[in-house]
Amino acid sequence: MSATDAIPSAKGPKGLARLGAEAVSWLQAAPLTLVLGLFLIFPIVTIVIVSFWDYSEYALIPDVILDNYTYLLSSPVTWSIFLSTLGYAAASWVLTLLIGFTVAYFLAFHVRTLTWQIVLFMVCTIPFWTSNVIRMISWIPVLGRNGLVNQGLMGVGIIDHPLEFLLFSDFAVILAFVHLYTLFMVVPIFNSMMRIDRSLLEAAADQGASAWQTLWSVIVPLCRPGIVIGSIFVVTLVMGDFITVRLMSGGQGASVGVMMNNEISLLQYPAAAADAVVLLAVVLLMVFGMLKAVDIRREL
Amino acid sequence: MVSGAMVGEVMTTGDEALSKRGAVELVSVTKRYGGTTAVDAITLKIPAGGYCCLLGPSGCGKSSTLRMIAGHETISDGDLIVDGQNIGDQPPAKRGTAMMFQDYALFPHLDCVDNVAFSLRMRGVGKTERRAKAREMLALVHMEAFAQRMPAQLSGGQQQRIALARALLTNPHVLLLDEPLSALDPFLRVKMRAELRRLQRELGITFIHVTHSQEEAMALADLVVVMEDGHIRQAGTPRDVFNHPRTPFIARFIGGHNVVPAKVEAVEGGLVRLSGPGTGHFTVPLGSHVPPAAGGSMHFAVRGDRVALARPGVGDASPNQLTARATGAEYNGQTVRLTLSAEGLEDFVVLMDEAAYHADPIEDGATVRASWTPEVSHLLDVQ
Repeated sequence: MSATDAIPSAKGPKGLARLGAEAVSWLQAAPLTLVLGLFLIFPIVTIVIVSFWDYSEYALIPDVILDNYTYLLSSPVTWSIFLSTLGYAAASWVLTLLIGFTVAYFLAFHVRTLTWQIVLFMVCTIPFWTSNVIRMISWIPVLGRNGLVNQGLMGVGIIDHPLEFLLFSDFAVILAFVHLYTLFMVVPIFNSMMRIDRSLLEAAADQGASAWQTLWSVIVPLCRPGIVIGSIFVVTLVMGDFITVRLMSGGQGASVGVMMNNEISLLQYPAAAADAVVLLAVVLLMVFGMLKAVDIRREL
Repeated sequence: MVSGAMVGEVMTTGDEALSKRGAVELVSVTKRYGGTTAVDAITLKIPAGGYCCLLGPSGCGKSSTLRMIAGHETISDGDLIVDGQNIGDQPPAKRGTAMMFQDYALFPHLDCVDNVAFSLRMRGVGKTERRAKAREMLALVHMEAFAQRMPAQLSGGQQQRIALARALLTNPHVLLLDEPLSALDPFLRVKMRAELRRLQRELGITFIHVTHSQEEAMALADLVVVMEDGHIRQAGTPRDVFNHPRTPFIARFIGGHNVVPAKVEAVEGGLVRLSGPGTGHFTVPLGSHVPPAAGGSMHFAVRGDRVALARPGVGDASPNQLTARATGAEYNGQTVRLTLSAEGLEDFVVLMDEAAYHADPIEDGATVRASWTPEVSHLLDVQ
């Protein structure tokens, strides 16, 4: 684009041509800069600024105070909420990783034709044809007191009365997270696996590696970039979530997102903003740590 | 270092004949993929400590054969015997074979030492011990200096040495090499070739090497096995195969020969008289062939470098003469490759000494007379 644009101006004086080329470069960079500036930098800066404001029951008071942060960091409630959010993230991460890796392994190494790989991948995406909320609500008739699972188990005679922990519990929250986000693990890991030269697996067998040894010593190390990319997706999505926790825990479970949502409904915007800033810092640290552990550039 | 140790090990077993390892025998081994037969009941004996080249065009079944010996391909039918043991059902690592893959298949996440030491790690050998062993093996292939490098930081030739060291560390009786030299540049190929031969002699184990290059097979093998279409067409020493290719396919594939179609006129003593193509009349030794019936059509082969060329009209009493038109000359350095064509015969190649050619160059389109003595030609089987 720049080449074709630069050609007419090249007829003019040399300085003008260079100016033209420079202007073209700026123009090319402008749309993305505008989008990022408007929808990423500006909101974050606003949140950071608001997090230092003061507030009363009915007003926001522009100010530069540290009260929001002092309260947040000194309150045992916020600490426990952050911990429970980290707990959801850790549990969802472990489960999505295990399930996602297994599914990706099956698709990459056991499904032999490309056609079937594509078909099965489409099957994996079917849950995404409806919205998150609908997918979560549809768990209720399955897990509820008189839901499918409880009735089924009682019908078979394994239990006498309904299991209470199935719905509106941490179990339900984590189940929903795993259901929602496993595909985010499958896709990057599958991508990593498809890049593994099949002759490496034969070479491992030739060197006396058992199937498990091949998995641990060859496939897992070579999937690390995919695992990290998938983990970033899952961890960031779970850390920022509030609707899943609210719906699936029946309002009993707590996460940073739920806490912020409550504060916003009480018009405590500066407190919510401080939460958001701390959450952002925590998530960035986690992502940074993961990127530090594995070099994903190879994959991009 | 290791080479010394290994040779020593071999010596202590005493009897030289017993010290050779890796006698391989294929007994009507077949490979079928669905309805197609890639390897059709081949039977082959490779002596212990031999260098065998499986030679053939792509799709001839040579790689499938190698992969069946390695255990990376199941054997549809037949037996595979290594050192007296039927190992057709054993997993790759239990066969006493090791494979060097075409693209080397080095583990990209491990450095050279860990790549070479991989088999020891799988067997649970401690880190220090396995690394020490790997370093010794790296020394054998002159790669000690690159121990800490990752495979991506190595050239093709260096990667190959690492792959070789990795395969040899498993102490195989049979080393299987899948087109090991095809990814190297010609200069390195010749160098690596000599190195493979040296290692094979030093270790006293069997090498089975798949290649589509007849030059490579000639240079390396004790036993050249020419394959076509899932069958072994000829197996013998390089000299034997080069001087007496059995069929038109082998004669063309191995190079250096011209395949001439002709009609049998008569068999007289040890000689067969043939006619055609065009107006040519030829005399070819019968050799060990069953005397063909008069009137049948046959092919015979003539060595391209044993053919004399003359201008038409110059007297010559040779019984084999072919008048043809020169269609092209290609300068190859030591020789000039002159292509002739005659009625019913395309691409009759004559290799001439380059000085002799340039003393009297033959321009394209000129008519020349090619002649040769019967001994440089031989009859070919149909298949």
